Amino acid sequence: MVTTQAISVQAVSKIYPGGVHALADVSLEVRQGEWIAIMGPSGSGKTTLLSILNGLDKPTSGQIHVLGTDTHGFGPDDWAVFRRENIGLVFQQFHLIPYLTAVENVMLAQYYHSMPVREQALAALERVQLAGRAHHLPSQLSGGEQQRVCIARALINDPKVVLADEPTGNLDEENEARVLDVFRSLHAEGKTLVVVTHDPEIGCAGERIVALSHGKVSKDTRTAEGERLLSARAVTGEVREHLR
Amino acid sequence: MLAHMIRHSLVKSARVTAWSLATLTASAALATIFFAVSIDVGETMTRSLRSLGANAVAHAGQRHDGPGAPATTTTADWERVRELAKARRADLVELQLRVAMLQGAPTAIVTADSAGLARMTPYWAMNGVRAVAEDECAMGRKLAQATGASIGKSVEVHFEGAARSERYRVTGIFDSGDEDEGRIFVTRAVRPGDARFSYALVSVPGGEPDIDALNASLAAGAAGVELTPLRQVLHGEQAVVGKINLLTGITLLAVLLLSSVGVTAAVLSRVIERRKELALLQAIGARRRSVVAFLLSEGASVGIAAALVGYAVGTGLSQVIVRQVFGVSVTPHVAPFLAATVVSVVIATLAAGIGARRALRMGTAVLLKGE
Ligand SMILES: Nc1ncnc2c1ncn2[C@@H]1O[C@H](COP(=O)(O)OP(=O)(O)OP(=O)(O)O)[C@@H](O)[C@H]1O
Ligand SMILES: [Mg+2]
Repeated sequence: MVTTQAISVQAVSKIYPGGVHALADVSLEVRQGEWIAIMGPSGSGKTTLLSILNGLDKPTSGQIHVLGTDTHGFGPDDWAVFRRENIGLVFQQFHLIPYLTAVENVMLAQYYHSMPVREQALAALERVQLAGRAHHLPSQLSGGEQQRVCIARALINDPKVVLADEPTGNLDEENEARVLDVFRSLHAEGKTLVVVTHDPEIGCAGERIVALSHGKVSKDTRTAEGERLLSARAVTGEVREHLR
Repeated sequence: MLAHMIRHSLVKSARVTAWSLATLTASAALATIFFAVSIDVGETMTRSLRSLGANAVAHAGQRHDGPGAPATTTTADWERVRELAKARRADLVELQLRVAMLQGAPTAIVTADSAGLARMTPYWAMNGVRAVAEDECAMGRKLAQATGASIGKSVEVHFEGAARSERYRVTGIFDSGDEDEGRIFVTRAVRPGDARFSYALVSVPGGEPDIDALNASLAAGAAGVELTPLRQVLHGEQAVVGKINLLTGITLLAVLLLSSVGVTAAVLSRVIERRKELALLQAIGARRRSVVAFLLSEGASVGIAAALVGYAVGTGLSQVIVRQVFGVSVTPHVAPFLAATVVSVVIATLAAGIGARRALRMGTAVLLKGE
C-alpha cells in the first residue's frame, strides 16, 4: 500500500449472541483525511460497525486496521490506549459525566491521555463556541450544547480519526448546522471523519456515502462534494506535476 | 483530577455515600470499642473486675518451729498484714467471727466494717439492705429459712460463755452461694478476746500470680497469716473476661459482616447506576485498571473518613461504657485506631472492588449505545 488507509475493514462479520447477523462480510477502506457518511435503515448495522471500528466491541470474524495498525489481538486496554492516542468519539447521547462541568468533562479526556490543562480545554470549548458555558454542569446545558461539549472532548487530544454516531440525531437545525461547521473545519484540517447519520444533509456534506443494508454494504457512492474535491485534488496534482 | 472526580461523584451519590459512611463509621466505632476494651484485658479489665469483690482470704497460718516439732497456729499481726497488703495495692477487710446460739443452734456472728464488707461482697444478692447501724444485721438466706427470720424482725443471739445476749434487727437477707448464707453479719465492735478467730477478705489486683506474690511477702514479713486464693472467684474472673471477649468478638464479626454486605449492596447498586459513566471512562481511554483504581480510591476515601469519625465516636463510647460497666477509664491507644482504619478501609475497598469487578464485566459498547 502506497498511502496508508486511515481505516481498512476486511471481511468483517458480527454475530450477536442469539444469532443476529448484524454485519455480514463487510469490507471498507477509508482514506486518511477522508470524510465518509454511513447511512442505512434502522438495524442495518451502522452502530455495530462503528463500535467495531472504535474497539468497544469485537468482530466475530474479519480484520480491522486503523492508521496502519492491525488491531487483531487487541484487548480492552490496548484499545483504550489506542483510542486515547488516535480516536475521538462523538455519541448521540453525549455521555457527559453528570457531576463534572463542561470544561472538566473535556479535561477528563486529557487526564487519561496525558495531563489536564485547563487553558487547552477552554480553547477546545471556544472552538465549539461554548467558552461561555465552560463552568456549567451538563444538566444546565441544552442538548446542542452538550453535544458540542462531547465534540470538544473528542477533539482535545488531537485525534487523527473522529468517529461519530448520529451526532445530530438529538439536535435542532441550528445546532445541527453548528456541528456540521465543526466537522467541516475538522475535515479541512485533514482529520479522517466517519459519521453515522440518518440525515441526508449531513451525509452529503461528506465526500462519500457508504450505505448499509442488512449488515452488508449495499452502496458506496461519492457525493457532489466528493467529486468536487476529487477533481480539485486532481487539478492540484496536475499543477504540482506541472510546476515540477 | 482524580481527587476532584472522587469528591464530586461522592457528593453526587450523596445517599449511597451517606449510607456507606454511616455503616462504616458504626463498624469502625465498634472495632474501636472492641479493641479499646479488650486490649488491656490482663490489666484494665481484671482490675475492673476486681470490683466484683475479694479474690483471696487471709487467715492465721501454721508454723513449724523445728524439724519434728508440731505445727502451731501463728498469731496474726493484722497491723503488719495491712501494711504489706497496702504495699501491693491490695484491698483488705478484717472480719471477726464469734459463735453464738440462735434458737438453740450454734451460729456464726461475723463482725465487719459495713462499707468494707460491701466492697468485698458486691456479688451478694441482697433482699433489703446491708446492716449499717450497731443494732442491725444482714442474714444469710439459709439461716433465715431455718429460723424463720424475716426483714424487719429482730433476732436474739446468746453467747454462752459470756452469758449475755445481743439483739439485732434484720435489715437484709442475702444469697451468696457459699457458707456465708448460714451466717449473720453485723457491724457492732467486738470486745477484745470475744472473737473465736479473725480473718480478712482481700482483693488483690491482678490474678493468681499476684496473690502468690503477696503471700510470699506476707510470709517474709512474718505477719502470721496465709493467703488462700478464692479459686472460684479467680477462675470466674478469667472466665468472665474470656466470655466477654468472645461475645464482643462474635458480635463485632457479625456486625462487620452485616456492614460489609450492606456497603457492598449499596456500592453495587451505585455501580450499576453508573455503568454508563464507567464505560465512558474506558471509551475516552481509561484502562481497566484506571477504572478500578478510581472506584477503589473512592471506596478508600469513604473508608478513611469513616475510620476517623468512627474512631472518635468509638473512643468516646468505650470511655462511657467501660466507666459505666467497670468503673475505670480506658487509656487511648493506637491499636484501636489501626483496627478502626483497617476495618472500615478494608470493607469499603472490598465493596468497591466487588463493584469494580461487576462494572468491568458489562460490555462497554452496549452501554454506550442505548438510550
Ligand atoms: N447487543 C446486541 N445483542 C443482540 N443484537 C444486537 C445487539 N446490538 C444490536 N443488535 C442487533 O444488530 C442489528 C444491528 O444493530 P445496530 O445497532 O448496529 O443498528 P443501526 O444500524 O445502528 O440501527 P439504528 O439506526 O436504529 O441505530 C439489529 O438487528 C440489532 O437488533
Ligand atoms: Mg445505531
